[in-house]
Amino acid sequence: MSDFDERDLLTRELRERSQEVGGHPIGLDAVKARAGGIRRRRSIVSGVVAAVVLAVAVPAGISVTHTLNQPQFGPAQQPTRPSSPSPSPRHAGSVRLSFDQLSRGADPAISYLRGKTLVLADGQTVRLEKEYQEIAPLGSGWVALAQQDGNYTRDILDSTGRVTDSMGQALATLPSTFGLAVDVDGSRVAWTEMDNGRWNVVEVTADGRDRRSPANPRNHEVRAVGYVAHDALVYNSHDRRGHIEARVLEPSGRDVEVPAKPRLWGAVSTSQARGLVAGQEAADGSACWLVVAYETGETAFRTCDFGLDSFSPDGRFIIGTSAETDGAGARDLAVLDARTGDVVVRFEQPRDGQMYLGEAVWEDDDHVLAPLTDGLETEIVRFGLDGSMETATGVVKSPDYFLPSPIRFSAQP
Amino acid sequence: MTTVQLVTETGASMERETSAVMSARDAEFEQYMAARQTGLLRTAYLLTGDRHSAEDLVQTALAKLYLSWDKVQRRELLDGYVRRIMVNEHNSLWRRAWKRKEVSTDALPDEGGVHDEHDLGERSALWEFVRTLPPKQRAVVVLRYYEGLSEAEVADVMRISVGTVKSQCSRALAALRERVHTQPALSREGEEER
Repeated sequence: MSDFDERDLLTRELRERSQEVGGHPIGLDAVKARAGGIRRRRSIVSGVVAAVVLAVAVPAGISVTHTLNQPQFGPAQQPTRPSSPSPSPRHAGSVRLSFDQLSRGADPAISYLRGKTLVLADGQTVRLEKEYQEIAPLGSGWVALAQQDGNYTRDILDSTGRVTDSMGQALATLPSTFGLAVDVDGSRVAWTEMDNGRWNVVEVTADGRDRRSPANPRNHEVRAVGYVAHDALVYNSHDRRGHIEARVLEPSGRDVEVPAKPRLWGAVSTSQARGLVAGQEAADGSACWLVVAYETGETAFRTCDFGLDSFSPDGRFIIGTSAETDGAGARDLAVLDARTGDVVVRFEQPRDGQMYLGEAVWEDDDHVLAPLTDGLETEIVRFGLDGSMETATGVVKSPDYFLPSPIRFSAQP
Repeated sequence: MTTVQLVTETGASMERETSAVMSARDAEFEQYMAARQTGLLRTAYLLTGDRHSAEDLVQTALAKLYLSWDKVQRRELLDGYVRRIMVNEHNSLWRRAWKRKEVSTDALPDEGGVHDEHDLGERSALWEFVRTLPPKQRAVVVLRYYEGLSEAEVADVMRISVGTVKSQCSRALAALRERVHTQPALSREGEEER
């Protein structure tokens, strides 16, 4: 019996079974009544969270007025820089993932978006003209992407948040992400843009020069992933059948597939510091992941236990999450040695744990920041390679559990 | 980042809306509901394995959609949005129920407690196999093999990686293959119908 036969069996069984349910038509009144109940529950939860924030804020010396002006966040303390002990990543092992007894550490040391506010690494805030979904540093300013009402907007911002250049497009279909890839020295940023009906990877340098990926004759959807060497940009090309190819725009202008053996089913991250590319193995039915050297195409390591994410800034480590990822997010977080795949530290919860992690980013070579959600409450947690954990924000209220975190970190090299 | 543009509840009450707007919105919503309800119910049934739970799940999903109706700005993404609500709601309900049991074991519970009064014990071995899959894996299987979504689309609906979709499908097929070895009737069932 082949995979095809089993898939066929399953499909037919599911289709036949689905036909046996007719049910009673659900009327609009019943839906509205249920909606009213949900709305009331949300109001109650919202009130409880506000009360908790208030209770925490007063002892911390934050004025009630200030807290009420920003009801979704807990107290902001003076930045202390990452306060966990200087990590010595020597295989810290497994650490229980928990909100319990987490101390409040420094605010995030990387910039992030919170609504229309850009919070800088030094704690200062910049008011933006609109709410962006993605942002990345470029020179002394920023590149920011927004989607609203089916329109896609790319803005270039100066250091005060003022828009100095803007491009807007109304698109019939939008990819799930446009991606923002940042060169390690902040001198260039790449993203995806539609041009004459075709998707292209566009790159802009701090001095205003730009270049585009080749003509993309097959009109695949493309997404920038990251720089793997100075001026060498890795991007993914998706065809209409769902096949994904990891490609690289080389300094010479050549556009070639990432020379990995075995091939990659798209890249997920790059390390410019070490010339590495991480992605999924392009073998039929494989759920395994690879880290490959860009120059040689040789595999540094292969893992079937973790899905891979971003490299640390120095390229020594890479984030991994268990294959048992929850529908709402990852259930655990691991840091692996980027050369060997050995687990340096793993933060995990009991099997019946209900927390989940959002997108994790590297704060520096030794710390990872990730939103940790339990129910409707999210906190940004700082994970140290030495196994330490502390919160980097107060509680962030989410209106519903299927919505993404209200905090979006700026793209990192 | 999601492709569906949603903003948080503003607290603006329904009462403040004009009756004309309400009427137009309700009519549009009702039209969508009528067109999609049967399909949603079938998917929900495959997720829950029980008709009453399926109706409850669809009603909750539609209620959440109703609350967000004005904020889902790209109507072509409504189906994916509702699927995401259903899958997450089902997983969430299952997790809450599982926590309440406070059972200290590594074994995943089966859903033996779920009873479908219309079944009368005549389920096929294949259906029993589907019903014993853990909820998240079952959701992946339903979206992939019933809804016919691509791996990337399933990943998007469930907010998981494509790799996880692949591994969950692969494990389900491997488990089914193992069942075939121990229950040859499964393979005959499939072959006879061919």
